This record gives sequence, structure tokens and C-alpha cells, in this order.
Amino acid sequence: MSPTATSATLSEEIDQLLEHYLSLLDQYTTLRSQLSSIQSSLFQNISRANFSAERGVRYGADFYDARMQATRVCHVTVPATDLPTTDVLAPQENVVEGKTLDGVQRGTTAEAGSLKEKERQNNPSTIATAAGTACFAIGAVINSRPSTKTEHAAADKGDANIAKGGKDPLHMFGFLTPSALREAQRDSVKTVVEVLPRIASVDAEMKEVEIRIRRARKWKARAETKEGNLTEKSISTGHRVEVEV
Amino acid sequence: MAAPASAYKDRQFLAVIGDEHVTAPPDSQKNFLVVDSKTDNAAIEEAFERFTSERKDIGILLINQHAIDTYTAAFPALLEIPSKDHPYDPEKDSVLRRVRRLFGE
Repeated sequence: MSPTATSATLSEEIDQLLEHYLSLLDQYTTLRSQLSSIQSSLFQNISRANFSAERGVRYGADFYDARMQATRVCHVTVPATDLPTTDVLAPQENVVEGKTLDGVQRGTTAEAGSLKEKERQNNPSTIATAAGTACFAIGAVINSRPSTKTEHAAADKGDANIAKGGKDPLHMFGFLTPSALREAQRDSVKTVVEVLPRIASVDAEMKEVEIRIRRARKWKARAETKEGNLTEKSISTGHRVEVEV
Repeated sequence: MAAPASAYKDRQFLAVIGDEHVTAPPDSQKNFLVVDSKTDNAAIEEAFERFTSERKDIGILLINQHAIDTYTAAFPALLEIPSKDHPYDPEKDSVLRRVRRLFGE
């Protein structure tokens, strides 16, 4: 897209951008409805846990203390290439010792590429991101960013430790927590790991596309004015020629 | 245009301003503010300013749904999420407001 393009070319480009924008909007509304349903389940589970709790016990802010530590961290990437790239924002479900844990599939190696392809096939809602648009992903806390298979395995191990209880934030509420509270924790993790980073990424891309659409519209208006002036000139020139004849 | 890596590489935490059901764990300092009926607006504004301007390690800021139209920074990303008492309202969604503006409504 360039400011010197004709109005017809720019119209076509605006149409393409709008089409992409609408698909992003569709993804956004889908993710929003997912978030709403997960959150309603989360609130129901917290209410159930409080209902079944012992007298005087309320699972809420009273239990928070200094033991709280981050168990998930955010990864922000901004692809620099001009070609639209597909970054895996949906977390890969890793099954370790019979437990489903959350991890994030990242990396640029060939192996990661093939994994990405598999992920794309399995997950049709994988988001294609444009250059310069931030991608957000949430993963478990690890000391180094995993780039090889071994490091991925190490990361999974670290995640397993969190789930086993080393840093499980649920233990702040006691060791025998009701199942509804554990369900609520699962819902929270799902929200944070699966839905929120994807909403943030789609939102960032929508902002980028909005800027492009506005810019293209401005250029189109300029091109139309220029083309209009040229037509007027040619009409007036033609009139003069007629008079001369 | 792509943002420089320094703008986002250290942003690894989620921050939350919301009711007691919507909180996130902190690292060295609190990255959440529990808002209830007793919390005054100044405290909320101060926390918002701290998470968006002062701290450079926040990647995403979660806030219970309120009309925030003036926030345009790329980092941290601001997400409005519904709370227990205020379910999701598309009319107040800042993203959908932007969509309406783009289509001239």
C-alpha cells in the first residue's frame, strides 16, 4: 500500500483490510463469550466453595498473604517481518504424570515450526498476526526461556512441581480445600492462560488494522481529489477545444 | 511499525485492578489492587498510574469493565474483564466502541 496508488487500488486494499478486521472482530466476540462462560463457572464454583465452607470461613481476600508468588508469566513478542506470521498463542496442553498442565509453545526452530503446523491444524482459531503487532502468551514461571526439546522438558517439569504443590497458591486456603475451589482455580488458570492473552493479541492486531484502514481511507480521499481535478481539467480543456472548433 | 524490543521484553507480569475474585499473584511487590465499595477513586487512579506508567514489568493489566477510552499505549495491554457484580456489557466494551467509530456509527 502506498500513498501514490490509484483510488481503485486503494479501495480494493481497504476492502481486504476490512475483511481481515471483521474476521478479527469475530475472533474477539468468540473469545469474549468464552471468557464470559468460564468466568460464570468460576464465580459459581467460588460461591459453591463458600456455601460448603465451615462456619466463619470465607474463601476470599482474608486468606491472601506474603506467600503469594507468580506462577504464570506473560511473554510478549512482536514479529518484525512484513509477511503475516502465525504465532501460537493458544497454550499447548502438556500431560505430565496424568495431570494436564499448561505450557506455552514457542520458538523459531524447524522443530517448533512443525509443531506450529500441527497446532494450526488442531486449532482452527490460531491467530495470524501482522508485522509489528504484539502477541501475548502466558506460561508457567521458568528460569530460562525454553528453546530446545530438553529445555521444554525441563519447563514441563517445573510446571509439574507447581501443580504438585510446591508453589500451589491454593494452599493458602488450607491443605484440604473443597473441590469447588479447585474447580475455580482450574477456571482461573484457563482464563489467564488460554483466553486473556488471545484477547490481548487480537485487540492489539485490531488496533494495528484500524490504523491501516484510516491511513488507506485518507490516501484514497487524496487520490480521488487528485483524479477529480484531472477529470475537471480534461473536461474544461475539451470544452475549449469544442469552442475553438 | 514494530515497537522496540526494550518496550516489551521485560513485561512478564499481569496486574489486576478488580474485585476480590479477580486477583493475580505478585512477585516482589503487589501487582493487584482489590477494589470494594470502600476503595476511593484516588487509590484506583494511583494503582492504574503505577501499573501503566511506573512499572516496566507489567505485560497485561486486567481491570473490571469500565469505560476507558483515553488509554492508547501499546504496553501494557489493557483488558477490561467482567466482574461478578457487573457482567459483560458490549455497550461499554472499549473495543466494540472503537469498531463502531471505525464504521462511522
